Amino acid sequence: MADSEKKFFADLMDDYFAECDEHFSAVRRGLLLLETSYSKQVAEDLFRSFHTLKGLSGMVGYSEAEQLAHGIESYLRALTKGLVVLSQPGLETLMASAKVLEQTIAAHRVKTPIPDRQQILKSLDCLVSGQIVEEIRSQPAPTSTGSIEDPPPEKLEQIIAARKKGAEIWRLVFKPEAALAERGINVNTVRERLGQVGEIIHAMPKVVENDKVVFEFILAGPKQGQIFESWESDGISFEPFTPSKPMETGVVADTLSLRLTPSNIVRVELSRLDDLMQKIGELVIGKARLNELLNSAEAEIPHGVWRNLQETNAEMEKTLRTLREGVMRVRMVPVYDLFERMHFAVRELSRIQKKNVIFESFGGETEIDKYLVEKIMDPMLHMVRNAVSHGIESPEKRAGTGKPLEGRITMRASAVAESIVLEISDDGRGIDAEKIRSRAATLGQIKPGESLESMDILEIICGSGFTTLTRADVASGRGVGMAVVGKAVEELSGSLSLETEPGRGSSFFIKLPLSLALERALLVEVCGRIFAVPASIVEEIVEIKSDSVTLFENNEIVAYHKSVLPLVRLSELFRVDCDRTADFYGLVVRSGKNRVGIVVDRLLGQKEIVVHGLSDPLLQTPGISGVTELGDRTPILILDLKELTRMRKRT
Amino acid sequence: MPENSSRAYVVFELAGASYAIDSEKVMHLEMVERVTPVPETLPYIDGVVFSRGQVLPALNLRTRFGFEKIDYSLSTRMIVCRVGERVIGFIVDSAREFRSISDESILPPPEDLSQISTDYLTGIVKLEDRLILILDLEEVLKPGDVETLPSEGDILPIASSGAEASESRAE
Repeated sequence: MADSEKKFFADLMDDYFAECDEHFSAVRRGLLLLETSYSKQVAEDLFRSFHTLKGLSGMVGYSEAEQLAHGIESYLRALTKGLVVLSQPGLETLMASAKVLEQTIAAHRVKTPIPDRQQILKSLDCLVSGQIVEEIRSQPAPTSTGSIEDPPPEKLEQIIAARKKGAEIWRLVFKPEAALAERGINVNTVRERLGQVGEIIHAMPKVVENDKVVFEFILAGPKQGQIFESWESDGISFEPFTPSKPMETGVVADTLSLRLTPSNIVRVELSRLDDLMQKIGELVIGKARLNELLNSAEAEIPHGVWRNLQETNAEMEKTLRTLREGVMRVRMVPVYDLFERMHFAVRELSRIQKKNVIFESFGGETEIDKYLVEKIMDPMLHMVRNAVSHGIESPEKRAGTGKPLEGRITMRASAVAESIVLEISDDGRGIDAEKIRSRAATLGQIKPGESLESMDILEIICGSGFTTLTRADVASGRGVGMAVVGKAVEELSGSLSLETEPGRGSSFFIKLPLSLALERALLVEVCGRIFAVPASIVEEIVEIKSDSVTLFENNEIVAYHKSVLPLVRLSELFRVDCDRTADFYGLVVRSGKNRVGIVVDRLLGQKEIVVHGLSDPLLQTPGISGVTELGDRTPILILDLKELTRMRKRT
Repeated sequence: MPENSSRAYVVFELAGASYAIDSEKVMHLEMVERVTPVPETLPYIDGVVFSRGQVLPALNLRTRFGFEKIDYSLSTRMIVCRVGERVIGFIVDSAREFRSISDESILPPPEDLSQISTDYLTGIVKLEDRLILILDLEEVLKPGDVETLPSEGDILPIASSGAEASESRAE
C-alpha cells in the first residue's frame, strides 16, 4: 500500500511553518536594512526569501500565499533590475505586504479567515508598473453598536483559540443600578454568572454618558444567545462580539507575535549534531581503551575491586550505547521529505516534457540521517530527472509498445541491517547496453568489442565525461550527472547498483550505511605502517603464500575460488620502499564486476574508529580517504580501497 | 591608525636565522610528535598530525625553503597557525620568543639580506643586534616553484622523524 498521506501531512506542515518562520526572520531583517538605505544585495536577498516562500506555499497548496508572494517577488525583481526605484510608499507597501503574507500563512495554521490581499496586490502592481501608489488605507470598520474599544491584542489570541474550540464570542455590558444592587446583582455576581456559562476573556469598566460606569465583558460562551435573553432584566445587555476593526487586518502588528513554529520543535544546526557525534565517537574509543586496560589490570588488582570496576565499566558501556543511539536518532528524519521533493520534480518535469508520469513511494517513514539527506538529495533528483527524461517514453511510444500510457516512477526506502537502501525504479525503456557500449567505445573509454554487464554499465555512466546526449539537455545537466551521483554515493561509503531490462525499465539501488561518525575498520600493517580499512568494503580476507603468486602480463595473480585474483601492492601505488614478506594476506575488494586483492603484511584486528576528514589540499592523496587515531593521537591513515583498485588499473 | 601601533609576534629560529609570524595568526605552539607521513604529498609536508582533536598538515619550513633537513630535536616546535580558512602546523627549529614589534620599524625586505626569496616576506626588522624576517604565510602556502611530486624512483621516508633529504633549493 502506498504511504498514508495524512500521517505525513502533519509533519510536512510543521516543517513548512518552521521554514516560513525562518524566512520571515530574514525578511524582517532585510526590510529594516532597506529602510535605512537601498542596497541591491539586500533586495536580492529579499527576493530570494519571497521566492522561496512562494515555492513552499505552492508546494503545500496555499495558493493565496503563493499569489501574494509572487506579487512581492515581482516588485523586488523590478527593484533589483533597476526598472523602478524604491520609494517611501514602495517600502511601506513591502512591509505591509510582508505582514499580510505572514498573516495569511498564520491564518492557515490557526484556521482563521484569510486576510484580504486585493489591496496589497493592487499596490504591488502599481509599484511594479511605476505608478504612484495610493496610500494604503485600512479597510472600513463595520459598525457595531458599542463604541467600546477593542480588547488588547493578547486577548484576541485567546478569542481565536476559543473560537477554534467551537465557542461563540459575546460582548456583554452590565449597567449597575441601585435597584439591581438591592437584589444582590452587582458586578461580582454578574462575573460569577458569566463564569458559569463560559470563559471570561476580558473584563473592563467603562465610563459612559452621565459619567456612569458600566462593565464590559467579552465572553467565550455558548453558540446560541438565548441564555442571555433572560438577563436583560438584570441589567445585562448582550450582542455577538465584533471588533471595531476587522480582526484580520486589525491584528496587524500582533500576528507577527503569533509564532508560526509549533513550540514543541527545536531547530538545530546540523554542525552541532556533528560535533556531538564526534565527541560520542571519541567516548567510544576511550571506552574501548578502558576495557583493554581493565582486562590487563586483572592480575594486579584484588579480585573484588576488579569485579566492581568491571561492573561499573559495563554499566557505562550500556549508557554510552544508549546515548549514542539517542544522538543518532536526533539526527534521523523520515525519507518522506526526500520523496516529496522527488515527487515535485517529477510533476514539473513530466509537465514540461508532456509525458504522463505517476509517482509513487513506499517506506517514506524509514528514517535516515539528516546529513545523508542533504548529500543524497541532488544525486537523487538527478536520477529521477533522468528517469523522466530518458527512461519514460512519450505516451505515443508507450501506446505503440502496448504499455500503459502513464509511465510509473517508484521510490522505495528500506532499512537493511546497518544500512538504508533507496530504490528508484521506472517502467520505461530501460538502459540500452548497446548504446552505452558504442558511446563508450567512441569516447575511448572501452575497447570496441568488449561486452558489458549491468555493473559495468553503471561504472561507465558514472565515469566523468560520459553522456549519450550529444546536445546539452537543460533538465538533466551536461553529462556530468551520473558521475556526480557515483561520487556522492562513494563519499558516503555507500554503493550504487543497477538492474535494467531493455523495454521494461530500470531500477537504481543506493545503499548507504546509517552510522557515520563511527565506522568498523580493519587495522592492517603494510610496509611497516599501520593503516585502517573500512570493514564494509572488504568481502573476504585470504591468506596467501608468496610461492603461490604468479606473474601474468605484468600483474601478480593468485588462484581464487576457481578463478584468479589480481593483487594490488600499496608499496607500488604509494611508491614506498618495502620488504616483500614471504606470506601475507589479501583483502578482497570489488572492482567493477571483478575482484582484486589488496596486499597487507599483517592483520592487527578490528576496531570501531572515528573518521576524520583530510580537508586541507596539502593532505589530499588519491587512495587515502581520511585519518583516525587509536587513543594515543598517532594519526592512522584510512585507505580508500575502491580508489586504490582504480589507481591500479591505470598504472 | 595611531602613530605608534605595534603588534605581537612569535619569533622563531630556522637554519640559523630569526623569523616572525604575526601572533594573531598563531593559535598555539606544540612540540612535534606523532606525525604520520602521507604518501604522494609535497616534499615539504612531513605528514598529518592531531592537534587538540583537530587534523592538520605538518609543513616543514626547512624543506619548504630548501634548507638541509634535520631530525627533530627537543627544541623543534610546530607553530599552529590559522591562514584564511585553513589551519596549518609549521615545523621550525625552535620557537621561544614573543615580541612586540612596532609597525613603523618594519622595513621592506631587501633582496640581498635574506636567505630565502623575499616573496615569502612581508618585511624585515632590526631588533637589538638581530635581523628578523617577517613571514608571509599565504605566500609560503602557495605551491610556487618548489618541485612538486617526487619523480619515479624516489623513496619516501618511512619513519616519522625525518630521513635523507633531497637537497633542493627553492628559488
